[in-house]
Amino acid sequence: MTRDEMRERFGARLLQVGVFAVIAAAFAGLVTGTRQVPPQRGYTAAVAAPPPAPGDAPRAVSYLGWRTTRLGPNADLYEGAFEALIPHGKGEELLAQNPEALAARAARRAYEGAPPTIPHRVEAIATNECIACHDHGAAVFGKTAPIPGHRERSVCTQCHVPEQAAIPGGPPLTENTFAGLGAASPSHTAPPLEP
Amino acid sequence: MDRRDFVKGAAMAAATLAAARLAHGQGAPLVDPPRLSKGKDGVRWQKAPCRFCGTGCHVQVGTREGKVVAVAGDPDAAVNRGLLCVKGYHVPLALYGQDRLTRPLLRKNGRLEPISWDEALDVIADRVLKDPAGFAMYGSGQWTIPEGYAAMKFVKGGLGTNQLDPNARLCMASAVTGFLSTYGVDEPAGCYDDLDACDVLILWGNNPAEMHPVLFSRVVDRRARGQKVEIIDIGTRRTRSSTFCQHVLQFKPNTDLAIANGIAHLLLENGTYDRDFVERHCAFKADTSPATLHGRSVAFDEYKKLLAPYTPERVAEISGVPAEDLRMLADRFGQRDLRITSLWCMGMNQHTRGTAINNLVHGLHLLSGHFGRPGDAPTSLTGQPSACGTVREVGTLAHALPGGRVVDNAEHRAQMEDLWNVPRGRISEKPGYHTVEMWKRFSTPTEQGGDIHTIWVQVTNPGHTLPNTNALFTPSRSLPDKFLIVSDVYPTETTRAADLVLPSALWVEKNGMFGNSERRTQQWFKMVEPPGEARDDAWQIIAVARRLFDRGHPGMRDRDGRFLFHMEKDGKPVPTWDFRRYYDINVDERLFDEYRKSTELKHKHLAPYAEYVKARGLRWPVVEKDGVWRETRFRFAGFDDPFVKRGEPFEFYHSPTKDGRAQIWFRPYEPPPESPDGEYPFWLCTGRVLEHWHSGTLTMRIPQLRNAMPGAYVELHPDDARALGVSNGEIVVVETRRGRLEVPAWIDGRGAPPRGSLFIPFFDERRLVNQLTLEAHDPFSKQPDYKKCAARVRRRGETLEARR
Repeated sequence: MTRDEMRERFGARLLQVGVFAVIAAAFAGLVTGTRQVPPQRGYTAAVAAPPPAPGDAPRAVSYLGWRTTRLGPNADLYEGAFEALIPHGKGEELLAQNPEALAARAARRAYEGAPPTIPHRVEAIATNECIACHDHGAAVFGKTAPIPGHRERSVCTQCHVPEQAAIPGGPPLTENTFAGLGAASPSHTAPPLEP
Repeated sequence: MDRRDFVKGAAMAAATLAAARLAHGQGAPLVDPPRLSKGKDGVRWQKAPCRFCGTGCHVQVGTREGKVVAVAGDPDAAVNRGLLCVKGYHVPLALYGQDRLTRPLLRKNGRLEPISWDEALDVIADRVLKDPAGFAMYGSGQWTIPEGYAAMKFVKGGLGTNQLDPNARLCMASAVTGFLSTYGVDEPAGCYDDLDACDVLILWGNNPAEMHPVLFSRVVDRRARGQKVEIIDIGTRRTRSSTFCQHVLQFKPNTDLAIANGIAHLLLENGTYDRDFVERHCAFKADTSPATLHGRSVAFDEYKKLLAPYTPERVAEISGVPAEDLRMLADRFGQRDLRITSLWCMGMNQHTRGTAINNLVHGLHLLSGHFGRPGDAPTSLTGQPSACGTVREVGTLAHALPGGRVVDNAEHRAQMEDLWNVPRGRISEKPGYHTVEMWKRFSTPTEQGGDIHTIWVQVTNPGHTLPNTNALFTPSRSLPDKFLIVSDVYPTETTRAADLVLPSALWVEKNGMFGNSERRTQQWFKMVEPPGEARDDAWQIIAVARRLFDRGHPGMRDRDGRFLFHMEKDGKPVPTWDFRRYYDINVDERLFDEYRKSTELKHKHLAPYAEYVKARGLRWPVVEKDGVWRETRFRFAGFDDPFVKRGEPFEFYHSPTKDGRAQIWFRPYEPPPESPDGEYPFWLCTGRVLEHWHSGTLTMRIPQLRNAMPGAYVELHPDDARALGVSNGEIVVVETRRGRLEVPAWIDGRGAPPRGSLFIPFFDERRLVNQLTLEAHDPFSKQPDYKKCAARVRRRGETLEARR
């Protein structure tokens, strides 16, 4: 074996080990990352960690903990979000005929054509952070992130507001007698994967 | 105009003819149904501007069986091109809160009890006749143009006093004085088209991502189309808008004047100002002592000398904005080929130096020649849908008359007396009280000079929105001879304290016209009936005037002895004061077509009512040429403004110095009236949030908006929260020298104030932040400063002593 051959074989071996390590890490990450964690609701969870003092290094977070640890914008995105979504699977057919899905869809908008409200908490306001999931209807945990029914715009939160406030409380809601057009109409066909 | 446009135009003209004949709704020109409508659902679609902010988006309103059932963004509207914000999409729900006021209510033995409209009109007439001079009207920038005009005519042309002022005094008065002392005439020269053309957008204490979302996304969306727009945020806290900005310059409250002077200083020092533009079109002004609105003219050398102390280093020291950022701003203004648009709203206006900072920002654009080309404009925004149309143009202010006139000008008074056909001397030359003064006198006992005895409030909520309510509003409620009349649509802080409550029609429950921030006058027709006995605000004014006429008040007669609001149909008078007959004619059209005759003095020409029926608004001056009414996008610029002398690139034809020149002001930086100290160590700023509009009386009744933002909070910097031991959501006590408020803390919330600084939104009627604010106001505009005062914050239940 020439020195060159040895070097080549050693290099190939190193590559194999490296690829294996990457695959193993990714698999472990997938398993731990997708493990169901008891859902956390409410804003109190968001302040479990006191704000760091100036000069403090940010606390490292394990992969197991990242979904429940406040890490900045959209930290609470996952809390309760997926429960509220429509089950993923049959797509158009399911949405068009599933009365439950239609009712859920209608409950999220004041009238046919109104911008739907957001069933999960949102702190991000730049479009990129929203379309990370919503652009292609990302399938997560057996549910589907709804795809916008309109062309992409730059400020999602201009029209879409969360259903649950960051700081709760407030007076009891005054009843509103508005009866919106087409809301929950049984004859309505929901466009595929629209929120 | 292509063929399609022509056919469309012809069709619209035919529709207008039909429209001109009708009082409202029936047969009004319809708009194309939105894409979502199947057309078979029995929904009828018409146009209207949105009820909320001064952006002036047009919505398509869908009605069915007497109810509004949907809206859609109007794709034919130049303002919003089919898009709305979350408030706009939910505007129809504002009509249907279950607790709408539906009957007049009179306070009897401490309780508000239902009475008839007939009795209510008598009560008001009694109050007027008892003390005409002590009767005042307080309105707002939510009055439609005809409503404001009717109030103006009633008070100034009928009662013969000037006790009429609007809440817009609290909102954009400093913008007005800024325009007047710079250009000699009010309102922006540019328009929203600038937002499509600018390379640099500067936000001066402005958060349009939440307050004018449609305008903001109009700019930000350009980036998605591959255009380069640099957005610079100059503010006192990080906001949603900051997220989209390349530069966020955070300054110490009140030091924006130092920053503007610092930029001007650098432009002169570097020689990068627009020498040609300045020499041909500008002059310089500086303060007199004591300071006046129009100051004194100074030479360029003196101007330069006055600016000399504002070196980048000194300005950095005053403002906290690093010198290199100031140089960056000066660099942008110094580049001739860039297009720069400035936007501002309450940040610059609710300022004890509001007129001054308005002058300085106009001055920067003039000095650097960033003026009058598409994309180059200093543009102030308004918060209310008709702050411009009604307050500024009709002039529903204590010192003003329609069309830019003022009461202390004999010629102006005579012109209006002729238009109104009332006797010479009817209009008083003595200005009425501005808002703060009006309410102060209402809350002061008669024997101590409180000479305002009755205030009739329409379309606003002063018990909630006046500054320092503990001093200006609350005391009046325990004074026996003070009487508060409130026309509104829902119970508010003000109706709850009122002696007489009148139920009003809202938005598309009546005909209306608004004027938005870019000089665009808009019109809509009544589409649904108001609930119960709720009635149009303009009708209420006309009905009171008629009651006074019947009871012999001489002011309610014109020169010919006819009723002040005399209107005829087919040669016969129409009893518009009888609500059943109110829509026999289009009262809005009559009032507007009378009013528009007053708009030519200051070259704010408006088209006839029928033109606005066809259009999604028109920007004044609107001038007829060859039978076509043409709007104006860029005032004072020769290429677009029909009143600029032919061949001139620019002409400031209402120049305060009467020589066609705009004024570049020097106004010094001065410290604010109240600053944090040992006892009150925090800055307190107040403002709005995306979900709520004004005092939340409409938006808090819309479930989607209320659920997203159910209550006020105080934004705290995390370090301050930690030092105070306050956690997120914990109720804290915020105190100023004027009042105290319990409110939950929001740390790392939507906005991020710097250390030592608090922010509380003002929409929440259970947490009235205006118990804390300061009534100190700008000397010229009389606009109070809601944006800065000294406060302290502590945990509830813990006394200050215990903390020490």
